[in-house]
Amino acid sequence: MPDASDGKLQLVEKHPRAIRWMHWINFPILSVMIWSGLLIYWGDSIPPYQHAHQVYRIGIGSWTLVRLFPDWFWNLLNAPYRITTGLGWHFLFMWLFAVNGVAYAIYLAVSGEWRVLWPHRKNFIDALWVTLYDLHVPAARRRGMPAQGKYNGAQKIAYTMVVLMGAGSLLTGLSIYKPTQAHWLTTMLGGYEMARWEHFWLTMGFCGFFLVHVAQVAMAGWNNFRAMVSGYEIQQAVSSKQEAADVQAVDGSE
Amino acid sequence: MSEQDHERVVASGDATTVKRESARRTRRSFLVGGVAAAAGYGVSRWIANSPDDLRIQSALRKTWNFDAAVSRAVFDERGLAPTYHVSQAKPLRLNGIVGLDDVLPVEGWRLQIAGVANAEHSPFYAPDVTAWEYKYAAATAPGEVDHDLKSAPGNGSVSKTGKATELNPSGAVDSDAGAALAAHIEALMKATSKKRHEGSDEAGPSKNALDIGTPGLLLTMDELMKLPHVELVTEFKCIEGWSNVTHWGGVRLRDLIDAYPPEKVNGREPRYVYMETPNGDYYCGYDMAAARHPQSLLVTEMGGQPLLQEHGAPLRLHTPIKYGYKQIKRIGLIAYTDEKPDDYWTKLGYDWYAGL
Repeated sequence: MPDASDGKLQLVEKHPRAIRWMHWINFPILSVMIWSGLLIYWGDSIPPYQHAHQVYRIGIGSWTLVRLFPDWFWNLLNAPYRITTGLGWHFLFMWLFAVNGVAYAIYLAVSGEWRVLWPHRKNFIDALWVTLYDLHVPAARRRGMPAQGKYNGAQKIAYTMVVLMGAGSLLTGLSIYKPTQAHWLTTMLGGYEMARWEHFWLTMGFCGFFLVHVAQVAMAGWNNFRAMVSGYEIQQAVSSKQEAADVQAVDGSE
Repeated sequence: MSEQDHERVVASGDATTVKRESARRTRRSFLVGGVAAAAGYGVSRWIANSPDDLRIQSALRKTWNFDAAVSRAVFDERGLAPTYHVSQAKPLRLNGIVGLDDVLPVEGWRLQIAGVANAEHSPFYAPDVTAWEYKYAAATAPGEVDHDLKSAPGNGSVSKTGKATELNPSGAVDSDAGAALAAHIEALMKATSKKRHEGSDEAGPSKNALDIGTPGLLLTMDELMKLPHVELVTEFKCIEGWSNVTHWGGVRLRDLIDAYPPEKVNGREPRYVYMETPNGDYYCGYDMAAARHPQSLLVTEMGGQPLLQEHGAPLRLHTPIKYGYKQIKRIGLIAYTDEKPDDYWTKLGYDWYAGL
């Protein structure tokens, strides 16, 4: 929260309505897609009755660190023998996920909002420093946070990546859903089993993103989180001269 | 261009004023968000509580039907599945032997075809196709087969576990109690039924089982093999997720339909094709367009060898535009019909269209 001892605060527009709606709508939709997808994946994930089918796992050769997923995980989800439930919800919510995702991509393009998201080369270095800063590495703390606009370098990379990952999930999903009718797509992605593997790891990517994203949001505090609901953030009022200098600094670093 | 340009200031001044304005807007947006979330939750509950329609909520089954309509409109079953070299083919994983209770040698088998135009003028005409008695080899207890993951065990069907070899026993045998129950149900049904057999597996009897006295054609395998022989290597796909490049040999279903065309309905072809196993336990329905797809095959060979009993000897279906659960093993009857036919896995909660 900005230091109120200044006496002067500002309420500033931060996130457009369209972004807020599409962001929050995506949360339950993607949750249902992942949940229903897991119910479907259960059908192939358990190594039944001596069949050496490729189970997704983290490991090398015959050594497996973790099998995706162990029995307790499936029981927690109440997944066994609910393939039809998975198929039902997945093939309904896929439309909502696609429409919301495409609408977001179109909005970003048309509104020009993509400019604050699209990462530049410098942002990749920034992202490393931001990560080290968050991890309280002393060298990074001494260096301080890099100058940023609306989003820091790590955010730009992450928020651009998830749009690309969403498109990836749709394309790999379509290639799994219609591997004969859309066989050109399935073949381009490396075949049916490869498309399934890609679809699975994109999903794990979303889960990883979610965990980091929620942790970062929690660390950024209420004022920041609130802005994604109400659209407004409380900021310190600055003199117009200082504001002009700030603008120059941000522009120069782009 | 500065991002500051986007950031319009809507209030400024002392902390109290700004925080009050922020709180006002925050309250309003959380309220709107709360209403939207409640509405979304309400819709999902409505979907989850919609009435049962063959073991799946009707809202979800309607979604599948919508998806099928979109698929037909966009693709029109045009897609030809990629084919592979014979050397890439592997033995097909065995999954599910509903309808395959006993060994059926090809001499004891006939292909029943019902709904054929001018059937009575055919040399293969039979006034009652259901009268054909399938001549099974000495009844054997099914051997071990993999448990089918598509339905939960203990759902009324006699469960089987392990691996099968030509339906000979090699281990676990069906429980006596299970077998006795199945026999009892079958006897009850025969006593009250106008059908010669009734499905006795988990999905129960088919609505499309032929009435006793249904005329049609009875074909021997020799007669069927007069149709042009076709070999195909495609990737078989199961709804469970696994896939298997398989080498198939047989005749095109399209060629059978052209050789023994259906009776027309209002001047056009009937909309559907129905198939079932000789004992009526397993049955499937298809759009005529899917049946006529050039890669839909009546299969007699796999991997260059005659079809094994556990893979549906003497005749099974392969079609790479459908999931495996539509690719019925041991076809006993092919019928043309204008009403959407009954379907084993559809009754157990799966999608009828099952299109790839």
